[in-house]
Amino acid sequence: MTNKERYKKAAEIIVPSGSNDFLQNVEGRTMKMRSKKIIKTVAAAFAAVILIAATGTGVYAADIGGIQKSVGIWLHGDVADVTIKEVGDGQFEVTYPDGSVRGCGGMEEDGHGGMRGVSMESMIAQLRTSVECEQDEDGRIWIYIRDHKIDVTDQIDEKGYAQEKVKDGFLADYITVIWREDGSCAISTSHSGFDSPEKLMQNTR
Amino acid sequence: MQLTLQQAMELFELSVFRASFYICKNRQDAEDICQETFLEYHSTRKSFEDEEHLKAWLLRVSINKSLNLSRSFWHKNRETLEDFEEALEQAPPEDSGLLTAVLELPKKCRVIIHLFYYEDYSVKEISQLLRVSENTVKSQLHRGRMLLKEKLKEGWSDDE
Repeated sequence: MTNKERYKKAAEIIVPSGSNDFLQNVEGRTMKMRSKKIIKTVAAAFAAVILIAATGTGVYAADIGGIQKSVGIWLHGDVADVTIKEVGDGQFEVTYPDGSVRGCGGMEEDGHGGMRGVSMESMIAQLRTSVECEQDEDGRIWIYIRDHKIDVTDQIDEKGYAQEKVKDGFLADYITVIWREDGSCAISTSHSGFDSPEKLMQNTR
Repeated sequence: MQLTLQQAMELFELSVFRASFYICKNRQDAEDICQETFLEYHSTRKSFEDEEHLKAWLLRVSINKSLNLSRSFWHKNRETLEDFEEALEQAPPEDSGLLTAVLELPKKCRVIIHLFYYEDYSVKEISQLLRVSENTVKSQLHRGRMLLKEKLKEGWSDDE
């Protein structure tokens, strides 16, 4: 028996505890995260209206928990100042004007064929240019892109597919959305035209 | 390439859990990190070229999360194999001996040993996945092999 064969055989001992249904737990947490996010961002948007005029951007501050930065982002069509704090490799906490905190982060290509935790600058750029699609408490489905708020509820067909032209010019002129019954969505933006549902599903999640 | 959460978990749950376990040395922590990793997959908009690309990404995310956790003060006081002792006792001695020996290796060393011997990654692939130089991977592999040979004697051959 080779070392690899020995190793793989021994590693079979390592299994999660039988009582842990990973898929069920993860799916449960995704649902919780989604509903929490909607409630928090709705509250944050309300607070942002009051705070826009009083806040500035781009102030670095270090504290015992890591580097943090105050930046202005688009939130539900308005400018809001949030604090972004690095809490790990490619992991950040964003504190919204109403005090709610949302975790975000991810990986990015490192330019050498590998991956690395996303940098704070990339994360800020992502926050500033992200296009959000959310359902409000009345069941209406909204797209938020920079200072545009678009109700697409009536455009969504029976398969969840919707197309919306937007006069933004900067981020996008065409937005394509697939809204799923579980509350998740896929969005694509383009300056040249709408994506088909198949292409959208291939390129986004 | 697009997999549902369920498909991704069916394919890679064990790999992600095991990679994390080899760092955390604690089943509960490894389970938590495994869940966090798939939550991150669920929320990412990144597209993946194929299953191997996705697997490498999941392993990297879980390894990073595990290393971050294992560096915390809380975790340093928590590393324990107590909840795993029964499984070790029931396993054939050669398996439990090898597993125990690997878990006693230095942390960075055992991650590399695991990726090489369990996941069949090459030195180059491991260096890309962990963002370290190939020389670092080679030296940690060499060190790990020497330590395993020292502990396991005939239970670990000289093949690579």
